[in-house]
Amino acid sequence: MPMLFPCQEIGSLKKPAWLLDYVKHNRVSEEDKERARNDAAYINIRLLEDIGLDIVYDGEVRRVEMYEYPIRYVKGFIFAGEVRSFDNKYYKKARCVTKVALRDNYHLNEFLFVKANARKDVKIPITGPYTLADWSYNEFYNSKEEFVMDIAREIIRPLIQDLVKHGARIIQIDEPAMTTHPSEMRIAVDAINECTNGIDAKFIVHICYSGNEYRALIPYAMDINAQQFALEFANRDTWNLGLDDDSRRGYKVLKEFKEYGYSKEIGLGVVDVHVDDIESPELIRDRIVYAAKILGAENIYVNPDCGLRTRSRSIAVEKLRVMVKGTELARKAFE
Amino acid sequence: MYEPLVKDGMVKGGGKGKRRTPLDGRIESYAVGIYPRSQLLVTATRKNHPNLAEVFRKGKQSWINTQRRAGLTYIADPMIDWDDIFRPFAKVKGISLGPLNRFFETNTFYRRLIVHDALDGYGSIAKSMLALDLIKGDRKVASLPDPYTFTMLNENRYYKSYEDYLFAVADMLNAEAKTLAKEGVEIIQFNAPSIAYEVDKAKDKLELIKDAMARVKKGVSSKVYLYFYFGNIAGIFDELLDIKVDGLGIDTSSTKLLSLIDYSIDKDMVIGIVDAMNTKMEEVKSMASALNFMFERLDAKHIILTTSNSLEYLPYKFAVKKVSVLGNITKLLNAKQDGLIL
Repeated sequence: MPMLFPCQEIGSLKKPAWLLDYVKHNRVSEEDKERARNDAAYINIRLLEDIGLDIVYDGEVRRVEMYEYPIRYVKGFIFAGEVRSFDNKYYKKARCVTKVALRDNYHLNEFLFVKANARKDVKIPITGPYTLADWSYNEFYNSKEEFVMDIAREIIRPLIQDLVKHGARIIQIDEPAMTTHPSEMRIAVDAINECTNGIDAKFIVHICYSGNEYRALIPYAMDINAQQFALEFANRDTWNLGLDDDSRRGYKVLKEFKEYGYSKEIGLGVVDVHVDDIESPELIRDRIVYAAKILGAENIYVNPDCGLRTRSRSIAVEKLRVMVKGTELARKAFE
Repeated sequence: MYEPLVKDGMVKGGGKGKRRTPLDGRIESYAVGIYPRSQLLVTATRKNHPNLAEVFRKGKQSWINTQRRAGLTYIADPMIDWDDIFRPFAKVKGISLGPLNRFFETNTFYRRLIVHDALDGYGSIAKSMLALDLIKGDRKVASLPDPYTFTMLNENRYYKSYEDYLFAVADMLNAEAKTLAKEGVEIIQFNAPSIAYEVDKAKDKLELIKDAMARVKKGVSSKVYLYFYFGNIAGIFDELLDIKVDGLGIDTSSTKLLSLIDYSIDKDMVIGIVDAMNTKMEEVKSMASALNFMFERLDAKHIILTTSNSLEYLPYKFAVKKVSVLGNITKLLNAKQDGLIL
């Protein structure tokens, strides 16, 4: 019988300060910078494995950020400047000014490095077509749908095909923008299917912080060619122990998934990535057990709400450690 | 398919039965809301510049100059030091800061305010955050959230009923507006995205919204406008005409101008024609021609052109161009009206 509640990360970890200093240095050669990135990736892979995760990657240590990094490698876009996300936080946005095309597989080298060095299963996160379109300005295509579908066809599908050709077995498509515009859900669904149909790999879709507790997703979840949805729940939950609906209010929406006939896996977000407070293993156990009782224990994977890059490395490690401990408690509860 | 909202013989909005000539008087323009920060300010805020207040003030001056150069009729403080449209109100007694929330369907977030006690200690919050001294000699415009949007996007833990909560917020905004009026602000635009975004939900509360806006406007000597964006309000426009404000506004990317031409609008109309969500620049001549055609059919008291919403969703240099485009379209329309251009 396969192990219950496999543990995985979602993606990013904060980059080590030494790496940031090193790669910024003008006098360091590109070759040496690459060696430093390899070292950092190696440390992250070992760290995640030693903590006890069952599925790992490299903490996205080579990527600037989930939008800017892929856009750099795609034809058709020009960076327009920075826009405020909130307070004094900004992100770069690009304009799409011509038809899009993939320059080269921008994740291949990092994937090959992880594949060569990981002892556990490898899951590669990639940014999805809807999010890349939604976070850009469209100056070229006649409609959002045309724009999204062209990114799916011309960029993401060939990228996935190439990764699979090189041995990728588990691919996580990050679509944080997916449920932001409920009226455009059909476009996002079609785009993911366009990227993945007929490709032999396990697909996971990660969505986070889109509001409305995934109610826009639920009616479409079974139509999407993905075996798992990795979602955030912990940030909306209480920190009280217990298996009652009120204590587990962040996970109550899973009942609506079930009522809609949802029968796929859920990557269950059990730690909040926006606070430094560390959840207790018992709290994590209760979150897992509550979800498992709704969807079936065999359908539950365990992960943080999102990438942990917003937290210091020490906090991130501590959160992952308690996540693994809490998962062990949940497994015992189901023995 | 477009269906006229007003049947033959019906005149809405207190019209006089006789169609006005809408292009009597100059077409005016302004751009309100939070503007984007220049690269200098982005860097200064990231690095926590030791004299950030001065950097912000220089940034404001620069945006004010941009508006003047574009020839906008009314000049607005660019609000580049507002973290979001609600944040200054966290200083009000009875309000504290809550968690981050997505602002509608944008990728921009605001901190939800928590109302935990009776609101008090307000009246000069907006004034203290606007550099009105920099626009002393200009015709001035300012913007604030409307009471419905304020109450829908923030959280009430104190007032016993929604009505009490809404009216308390309306009274707070009224005090703020009175202060701005005393400072010579000619127009105060209340932004109402929550009404437009979920029209059906707002429709159920329309009578309350009307009462709240009456409270907001009471005793305010500035013109009070209510501006709708992020949704199509054509379906409730006839009911909105009853709101006791001096002007209504629409974002034309959500509400088509064509859907309003059967109304006799006994108010000023603020028309958001420059898309503040996309970097693609409007073509000034073709836009002016299309608007000229529409304005000959639109029966409104007075027309003011603006951006679809605040410019904060654009990078700085594109927002600068959009302000210029707004000014150029307005100039071209007025030149056509003056017969200077055929």
